[in-house]
Amino acid sequence: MIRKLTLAAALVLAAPAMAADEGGYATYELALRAGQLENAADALVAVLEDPEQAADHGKAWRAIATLLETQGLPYASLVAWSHAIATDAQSTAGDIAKVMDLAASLSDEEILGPVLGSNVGIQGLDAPTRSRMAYVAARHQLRRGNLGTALGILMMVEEGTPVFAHAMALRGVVLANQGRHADAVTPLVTAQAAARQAADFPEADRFDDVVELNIARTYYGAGNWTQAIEWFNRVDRKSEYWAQAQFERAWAHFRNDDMQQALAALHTHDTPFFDGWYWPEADLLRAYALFTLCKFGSATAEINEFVETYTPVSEALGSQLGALDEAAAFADARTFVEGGTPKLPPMMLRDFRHDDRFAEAVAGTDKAKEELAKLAKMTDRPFVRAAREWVTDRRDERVAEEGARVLDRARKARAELSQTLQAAEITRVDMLQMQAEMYERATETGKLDFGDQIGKLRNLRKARKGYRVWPYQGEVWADELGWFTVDARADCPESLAEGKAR
Amino acid sequence: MRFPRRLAVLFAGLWSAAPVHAAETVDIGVLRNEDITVVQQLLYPKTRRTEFGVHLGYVGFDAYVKSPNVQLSFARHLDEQLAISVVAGGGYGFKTSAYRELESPTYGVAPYAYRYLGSVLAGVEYAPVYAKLNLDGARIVHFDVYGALRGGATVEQSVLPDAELAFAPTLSPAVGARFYLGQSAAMHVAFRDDLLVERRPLNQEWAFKQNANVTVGLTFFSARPERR
Repeated sequence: MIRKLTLAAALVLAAPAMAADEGGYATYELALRAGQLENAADALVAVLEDPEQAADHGKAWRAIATLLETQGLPYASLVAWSHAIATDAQSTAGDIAKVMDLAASLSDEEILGPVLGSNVGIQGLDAPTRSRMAYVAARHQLRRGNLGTALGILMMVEEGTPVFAHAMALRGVVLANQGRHADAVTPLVTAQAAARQAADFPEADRFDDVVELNIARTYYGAGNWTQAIEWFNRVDRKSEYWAQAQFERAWAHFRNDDMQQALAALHTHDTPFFDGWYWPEADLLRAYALFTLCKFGSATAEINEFVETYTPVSEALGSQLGALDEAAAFADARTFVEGGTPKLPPMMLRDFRHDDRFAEAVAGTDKAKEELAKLAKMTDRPFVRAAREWVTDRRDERVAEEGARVLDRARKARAELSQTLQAAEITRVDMLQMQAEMYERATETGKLDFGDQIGKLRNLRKARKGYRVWPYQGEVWADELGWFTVDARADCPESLAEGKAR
Repeated sequence: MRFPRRLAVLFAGLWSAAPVHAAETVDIGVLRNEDITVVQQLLYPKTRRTEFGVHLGYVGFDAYVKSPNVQLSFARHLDEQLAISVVAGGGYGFKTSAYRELESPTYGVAPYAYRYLGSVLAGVEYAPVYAKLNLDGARIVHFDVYGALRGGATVEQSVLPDAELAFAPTLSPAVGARFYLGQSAAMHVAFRDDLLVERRPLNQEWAFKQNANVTVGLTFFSARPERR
């Protein structure tokens, strides 16, 4: 009896070994049939690591993706799915929707961008899935700067699908990036209308603000300043994009040769509410607008303030940039976003607080970290080692990508600031000369005519129905941001007016 | 050194003038505060909106009767300044300690006083002043100050045991402030002086009476009309 039992046990123990001897995909099937999921996963890893079994790689990736998900390893499963689609996309057609849901739940739709982009011709997908797939792929292509490809892929998005509004907005952005501003307005307006009509549209207000900002930018790109100003003004005051929209509105006024309103729009950014925001361009634009009105005193003060504010920022960037690699830059930006003290100047990192892509990367890397912690507790075997490697690689890849964005932004800022700070010194000297000339003229004429200030206020009150007119006394109230107007006399000396000084 | 008197006067003038000139800044080449104006879109428009509210009031300036009361208000705003207004309310006047003392055996006098029971008034509101308060730099409270003139009727009751009723034609000037709590609500603080003429049966005389009512209330606005 004991001899019979020993034999039976030996057979059971031998079964996997015998299957392993057969090798290849069959080993996996045998193990699976025997309910030995971990052995099955190990067998699949063996197949995937063997270039001679390349013909089976497509089904092996699919199989291991499914197995890993059942083992509670969704991130490793997602990586495997991305390989499965890349290797044999058509066979994964029935799984695409599920995989996109998995990617979204792990905040890593980006991993599917390249593989979906290369396989947009998969047959047998329903309209919502194909549209969603096309949107994810097109967004990836846009981020890589492949505008033509992105545009082509977006043609596959069908009207009425949940991603239609997003896809139209993306189409508008791509067209604007291609310089086709006139063509870009229609898809953007369509996107806004589609989102507004949708019964349940996530983050509808935010989407509306982004689209309005993009429409404004498109008009700006087309040189239609009036329309651009109109659309910049439509961005809601409560929106995180409002201050940016107001800044860009100032540019539109400036390009429209309306220095008064450019100054008015920029006055908002000069208030204490925006201390610590990174807006060197706003300071310079204000200085330039003041300069064109020959407000040399104010322009000089503006440049002095610019130098005072941004010299330390430029120096800090100079000292930190060499010391940070991509991973450190990502960690630094993350520290700031989470309320900590970063090594890079905080004003440089402010935009990352509202950066969806960065937020997704943070969430995704956190999920990868959780999974790696789980893998560390599992028995060390081939599929565990492989899963650990895949998740680690993907996490590092995302960290490197986002870290590179942080560094890229910081490097560009450093270069711009260095150049501008040098130019500011020269401008200050020029300005002093012009200021002297202006005082000379004032001494000669002996009269400063500022017009009838009270009369101006009264006229404004009559002219602007539906508005309240308040005098400005140097004190900034939160509710007045964005409502400033400027009506300043130009103080230009004759020589400047005649163009002698230019 | 001593100066001749005329020169001393001249230099004295210079000395006194110098600081004045020094204190005057040269307003050239700079953007002045006066060059900037705040042209703010109406945050709380009232035109073509209806305002309903409930107010707690207290007629407290009468030596003999103190009357807590509740008022319901309705206003239709014709524009940002002018509104048609209806206020109806009721309350009950309680004898003051002074009255009770007079009633007591010590004095044995019962003054012929009337208590407020209710009123209905209609008229106009005019809000010429619009202003705002800065609470902490970031929290701004907008408010307007209005005057109102309403007319109507008040019902009063004698505090004597006979409890005779009097129906009095009433003219009611008022001033108040409306503090905006949001797009659809406002807090009111108002002072209203109801001027009554009432026929009092006991002595068969016409009497003039003032009910000075201080009210605090909460009002709600109808939705903003679509732009034409």
